[in-house]
Amino acid sequence: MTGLTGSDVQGHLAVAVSPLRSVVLISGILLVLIALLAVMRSRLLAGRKVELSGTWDCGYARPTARMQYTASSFAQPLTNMFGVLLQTHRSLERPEGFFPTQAGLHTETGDIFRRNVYRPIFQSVERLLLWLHWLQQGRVQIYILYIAVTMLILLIWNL
Amino acid sequence: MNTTSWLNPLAALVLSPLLPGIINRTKAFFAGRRGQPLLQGYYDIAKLLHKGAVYSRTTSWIFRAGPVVGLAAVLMALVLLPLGGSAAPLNFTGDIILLAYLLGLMRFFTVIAALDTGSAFEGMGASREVQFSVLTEPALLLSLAAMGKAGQIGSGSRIEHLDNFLSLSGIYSNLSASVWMRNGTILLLVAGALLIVLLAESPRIPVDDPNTHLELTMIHEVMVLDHGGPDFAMILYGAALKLWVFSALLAGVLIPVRSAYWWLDAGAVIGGIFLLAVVIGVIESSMARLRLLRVPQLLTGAGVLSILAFALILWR
Repeated sequence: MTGLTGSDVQGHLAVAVSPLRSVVLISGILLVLIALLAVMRSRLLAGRKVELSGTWDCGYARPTARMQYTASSFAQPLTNMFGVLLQTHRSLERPEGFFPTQAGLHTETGDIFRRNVYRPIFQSVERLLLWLHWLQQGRVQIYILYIAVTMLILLIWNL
Repeated sequence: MNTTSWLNPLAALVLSPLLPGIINRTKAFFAGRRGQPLLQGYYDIAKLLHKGAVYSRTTSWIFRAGPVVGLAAVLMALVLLPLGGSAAPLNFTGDIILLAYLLGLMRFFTVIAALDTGSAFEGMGASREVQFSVLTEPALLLSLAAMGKAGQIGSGSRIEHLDNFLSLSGIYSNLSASVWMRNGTILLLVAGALLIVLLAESPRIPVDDPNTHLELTMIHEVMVLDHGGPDFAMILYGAALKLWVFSALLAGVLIPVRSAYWWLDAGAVIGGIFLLAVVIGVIESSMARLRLLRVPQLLTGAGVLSILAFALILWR
């Protein structure tokens, strides 16, 4: 159908398949290597003192989960760098007075494609279809009338 | 597959812990000190391998997997790396992408192991590491692509053969003094970009100071704060191997000796790797690290150099 011979197709497929074979081979060796290193590590630690302790906190006595790096603090350098594209919305509530009781920072990085591309397109489609809403009366008699009118028009068309 | 192709992985396994030693001795020389022994890297790894371990209570298996996966990934990257004109033990079309992502896998596990501790310091380091790698990765890939194209045009043969253009071994075996004569500008731009990538990935001054003692300003060192014992030995060894990988990539461009003897070609690159360690030492002695906000600009500079090289080679 495409005018290609079997050997042609095989030749082109081989270009794609041979790197994949190597990738699979290397991934396999990688997994074996990981297993070997893990075994080596547990062999080394067997019979030695393995202790549990707190995370290194630089002398700070009471770290809590609230001080942990969150997903948005992790991504902050990148969202700053690409701020022009991402258009992160940021609202800051500064601590005020000597004994502030309230402070807050809220950032929200929306999906710019959803906001600027998909939503306008789908909204205009929806508006267009709502405009045809009057056709949908909910009464069977009217729907049968639609069918009859359609068939009549088609009949006249064909005459 | 021939025996000479295994020379690079073997040389890296044996010699890579020397590189930090050479860098430190160079820095000591500039500071007028005697400095630590050249073999300090080996002593450190041996000492750590004989220790027990302390784990944080907040960590899970991810933290323990980090060093293991990281070392395994960089070991596999070594197998893809050609030395001089001879091919790597494993090479195929498109292995430059696999190389970049094996190193990416290493970084990913270092980063999630750091986040696993729940420490704000390590989160900060992980966040910076990821930010910088976003900038160095395209620079690395574009540099390699520009180099492949330059070698292909320079050698003038097998233009249509993809293997030559898209595999590391093909790219490096095409490089020679005559390619430098014809496409010197492009290779110089590539070498500049690769040097910045090397400094950022190693990670050395001006991107990260390995000697700093303040957690807030660290990048790589802070991510591995909570590792100890055999885990930390694996991290140190993995870091030395990674330094070897990037040095070999750069030395392969700068010193493309293509003689009749494979040992001369390979020896030139290995000599180049040690010379690069001295150069890194000189760079570290002669400048301070950049302010953290300036680092992305330097790395973008590397990206621009590689884009320029790639554009120049495309429009020739």
